[in-house]
Amino acid sequence: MSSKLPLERLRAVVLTQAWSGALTTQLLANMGAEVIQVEALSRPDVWRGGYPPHNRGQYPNGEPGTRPYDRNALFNAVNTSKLGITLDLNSEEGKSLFLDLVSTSDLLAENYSARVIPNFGLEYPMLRQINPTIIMMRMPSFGASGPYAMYPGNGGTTEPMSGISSLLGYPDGQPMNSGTMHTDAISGMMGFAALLIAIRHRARTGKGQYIDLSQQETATTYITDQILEHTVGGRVPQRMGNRDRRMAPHGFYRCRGEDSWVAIAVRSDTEWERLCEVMGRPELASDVHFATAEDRLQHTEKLDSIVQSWTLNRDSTKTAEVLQAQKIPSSAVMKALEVPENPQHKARGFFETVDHPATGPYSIAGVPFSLSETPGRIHRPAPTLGQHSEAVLKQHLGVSDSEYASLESQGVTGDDPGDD
Amino acid sequence: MTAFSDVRVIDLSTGIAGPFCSKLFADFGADVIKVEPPTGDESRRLGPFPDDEDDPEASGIFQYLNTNKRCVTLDATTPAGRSLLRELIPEAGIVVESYPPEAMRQMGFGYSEIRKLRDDAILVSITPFGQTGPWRDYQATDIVQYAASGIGYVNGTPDQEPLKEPGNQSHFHAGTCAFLGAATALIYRDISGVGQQVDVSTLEAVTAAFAPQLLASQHTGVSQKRRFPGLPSGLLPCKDGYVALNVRHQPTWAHLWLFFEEPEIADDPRFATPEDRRANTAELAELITPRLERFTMQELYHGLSPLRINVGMTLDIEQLVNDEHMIKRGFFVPISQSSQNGKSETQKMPGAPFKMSATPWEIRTYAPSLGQHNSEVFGQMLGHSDQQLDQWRNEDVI
Repeated sequence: MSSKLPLERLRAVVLTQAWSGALTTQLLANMGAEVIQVEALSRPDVWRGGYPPHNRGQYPNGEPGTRPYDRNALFNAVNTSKLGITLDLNSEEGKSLFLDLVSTSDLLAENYSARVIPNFGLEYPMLRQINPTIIMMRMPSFGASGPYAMYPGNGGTTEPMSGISSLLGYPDGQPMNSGTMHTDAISGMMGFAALLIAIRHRARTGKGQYIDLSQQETATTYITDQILEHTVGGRVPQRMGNRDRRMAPHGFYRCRGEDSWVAIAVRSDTEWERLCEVMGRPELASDVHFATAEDRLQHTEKLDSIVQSWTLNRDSTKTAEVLQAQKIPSSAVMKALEVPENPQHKARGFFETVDHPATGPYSIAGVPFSLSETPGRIHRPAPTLGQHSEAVLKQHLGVSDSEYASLESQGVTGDDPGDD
Repeated sequence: MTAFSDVRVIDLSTGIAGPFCSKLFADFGADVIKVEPPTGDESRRLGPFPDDEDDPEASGIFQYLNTNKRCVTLDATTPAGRSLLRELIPEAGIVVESYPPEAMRQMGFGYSEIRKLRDDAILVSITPFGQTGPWRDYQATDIVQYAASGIGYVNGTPDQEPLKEPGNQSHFHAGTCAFLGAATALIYRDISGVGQQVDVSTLEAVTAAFAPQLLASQHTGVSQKRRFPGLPSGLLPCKDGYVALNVRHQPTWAHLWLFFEEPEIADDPRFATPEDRRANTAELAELITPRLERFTMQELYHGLSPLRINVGMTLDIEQLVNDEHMIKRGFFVPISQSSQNGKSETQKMPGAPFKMSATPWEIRTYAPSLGQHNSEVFGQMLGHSDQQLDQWRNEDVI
């Protein structure tokens, strides 16, 4: 295996935080770019979980420790391979050092609310004067332009604004948000797509550019088929639980054990026949009520109760194995702790072990695309707060020992948030 | 010059993921040649169709996925079809495919064969579970991915079954990851001259969208569970729908009560701090819900947002398409030439996934008809005669 990383010649200075932007720049870092994550001691990344005594997070063994902000799962999961520094952008010195970093970087990415960048005086036309070839990506919830641009947002509000929540829920029940900040992951991945396009254009032409990514729009893109149901099909799609417009049976069916379920999807009449065999109910295959997909869709409730009466006293994992042996799409509905144990992930090495100085080793989902020559990888754990402040400012910007000490004492940079 | 004006992609994939990957290339400037069997890609039959009338040239999802692409037909199960494909591949630097693992190799187009045709080729393979591992031949649909990734388990309420994500989002995740891998490989090839194989597992693409919560569960030792909707971050009923409302932070809590014109409630000791509000969510909901029900989604959204309160309208698809912000940003665009000409102006689709100043997303051509570019590609590009093409048409090779 080559030790080369495909983006190792690039440097990015980033103000990304929480999940979406942090995921974009994590992918950039895992593929080899030097990503310098900038936080402020007075305002660390919200996914660090806050300072004591108001800290709230998920720490190893529930132990926050003296620096809980270095131990929170959420931050540590989405900032691998980055360098972390602190700079107070509201101070003259901090802003000036930040601009020095911009002048030596290829990319700048941020996902603040749209009003923040103008407030810091860091808009693209100004940054371009400092670095004419900079690529700047902004990714606020509703984009950096348009009537709602200045409104705040987060994953919990972007999801309902994207149309996804209107479709998530039980038939006849109320709309719901996902159990994750679901749209953040979508915009995080799409953000990296935008950066790669800009990176290639810059490599070919020497020109930078400005990217305005709206998390609402990237999320909406992922339900394009549902949008088309309306714009082309003339229907307003409704919540349908786990049901499908073309497939039946189709759902999560209850299994033996606490809150245990198996996913089953039958794509064709022959898969239905095979399912009947597996369930020990071959006579159903010739039942006219269930002969075609259309018939089965019409009698979904009956069908679901038949399938569930079969799954109810069975183990979910073994049921999925039996169905897969007959080429019927199926999987146990995995609980979070079971996911990394999946033999498929083990065989492919998808989860990587990271040894973090403040938490010890943990395993984390890796790069979701495998390149044979230049595989990306987690090459360092997420930074502790301000971990690389001193090294980056001294080595990249030539800040002297005494200047650094003075900046630190003024709270412009450093790794210690102090007492309040 | 666009970002990919020097790039040609041969797309052998079907479904959503592969075509979405190659669409990102096409919409940002690449010449993407979609290879379909002479009977047409399955997504031509998927719809939705205008007036629900089946028409392989009017399938909504096909039109969306294939903007800016050229289309040739070719039956890769015939020797003549495979021979044509062997001529085509050296013309392209990137090949995208979504066959089951091993199928490409069995047809004579494994990565090593493709390397012989073009040494620096990038081969992008998208499958449900990847090219390796004990699950590689397992079958999947969207719901299976939401089961295996663990995301389904946390969607829905504790008293009912878990819920998959709506639509076919796992395929979009996989298509995006395929693009990320392919574009990264392309950037590396620009520098090194070296091609490579990109192996995308849909399950990994979806699982990556759950990575932080998976680590949180490891740390706490407890798998994340489903929750009932409501405060602190769920959707709450209002006069004409549901809103998301997040009042965790201290100033926004006071602002909320200013909006309701009952500022004294902000000082209620039961809800004084974020910790208090989290501890008393049921009482809090009793307090807030009747007040929300006096207002519409629009009133709440435009009333609370300027007060820096995180609030969201639960837009259904019709409301979303007609939303003022979406319209002003020009997100939805005509789906075809005829809808652009205003003949059926409601027929819109999502447009630019992000706005780029130097290399903007654009539609140069709408989705191709079946075999529309056979003469252009097999004739002009590869140099075959009209007679030869006619013969292949008669033999159902193209």
